[in-house]
Amino acid sequence: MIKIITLFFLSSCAYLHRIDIGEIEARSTYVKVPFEINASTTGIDIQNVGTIVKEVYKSSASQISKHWSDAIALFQMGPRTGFPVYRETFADNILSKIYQICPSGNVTGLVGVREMNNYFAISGEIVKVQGFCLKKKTKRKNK
Amino acid sequence: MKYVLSICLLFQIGCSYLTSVSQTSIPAKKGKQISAKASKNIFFMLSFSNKFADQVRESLVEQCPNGSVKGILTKQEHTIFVPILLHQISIKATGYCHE
Amino acid sequence: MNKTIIMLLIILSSCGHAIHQVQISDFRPYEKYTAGKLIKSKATQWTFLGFVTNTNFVDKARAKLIAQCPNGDIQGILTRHSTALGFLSWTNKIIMKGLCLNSP
Repeated sequence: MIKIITLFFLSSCAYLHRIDIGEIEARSTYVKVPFEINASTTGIDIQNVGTIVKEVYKSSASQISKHWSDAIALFQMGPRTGFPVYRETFADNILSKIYQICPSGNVTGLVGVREMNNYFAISGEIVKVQGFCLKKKTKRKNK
Repeated sequence: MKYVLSICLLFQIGCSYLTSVSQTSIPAKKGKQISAKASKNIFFMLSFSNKFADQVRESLVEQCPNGSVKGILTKQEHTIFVPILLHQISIKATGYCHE
Repeated sequence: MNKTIIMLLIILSSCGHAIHQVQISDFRPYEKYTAGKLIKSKATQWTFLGFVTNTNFVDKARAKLIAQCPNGDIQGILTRHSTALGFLSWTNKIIMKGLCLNSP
């Protein structure tokens, strides 16, 4: 159990996988209003789940579970970024959200981040988009 | 086996993986399509510089000296010719030159 | 208990996806959402044990997107690169979404 807790704390890290920075435009009659959109889902690593089962139950039967999890991991072959997720479309509505926040379409300075919070067997797979919405400056009336 | 490997090396046939991709906004008036590529062979997984990547932008500018390059698709590929011994990283960019 | 864990692992191993990158382009020519129509394109590449020699599926996705909007600007293009994981094989996917602005 101590091994599991240690593994949990040592692996509870944030990983930055990708970052994209777009062009930043400035206009004298506009002000930049920042916004941030987060999309996330849970990722699961089958092999680490098997390791936890093996460590927690500590019986000969749980050893078999570990072998099974390694065999089942063959069904999840391929290039990986973070842990596998079950909803691949979790970040697809980011574009609609940007237009909801900034309906004028005057969006600039976009930074797209693909990151992960690792909790050993499960993870938080996150796509974060930050940017500025250019809005016209309101004229102050001189008294 | 040696024969197969030498053929692969001769024809630069290897397993290619897409590492990253980016696309800029695409204009209505497209103009002439231009493309640029830069690559680097990496031996024993050792690489000490990424300056080869700058050649892509320079090549695009050369091909479109008096216009704007828009709608650029940039791909970074990783090709494995011989595992561990010989890899290649290449960057390909395709865009439209609007003069 | 062991059978339950194994069944759970089998269920969890199916339909796994790896999301590699989500990139959003600039928003030139900075038009309103209502000025255009949202378009989407998708291209896939199936590979067995990674034996593929090109990444042309990306260019296909781009060409499909442009084909839906041949005479208009496409602004705010979201590009998603992901892989559907499988048994000894996987499918690379590119999805592109953008706002097609009608030419004046």
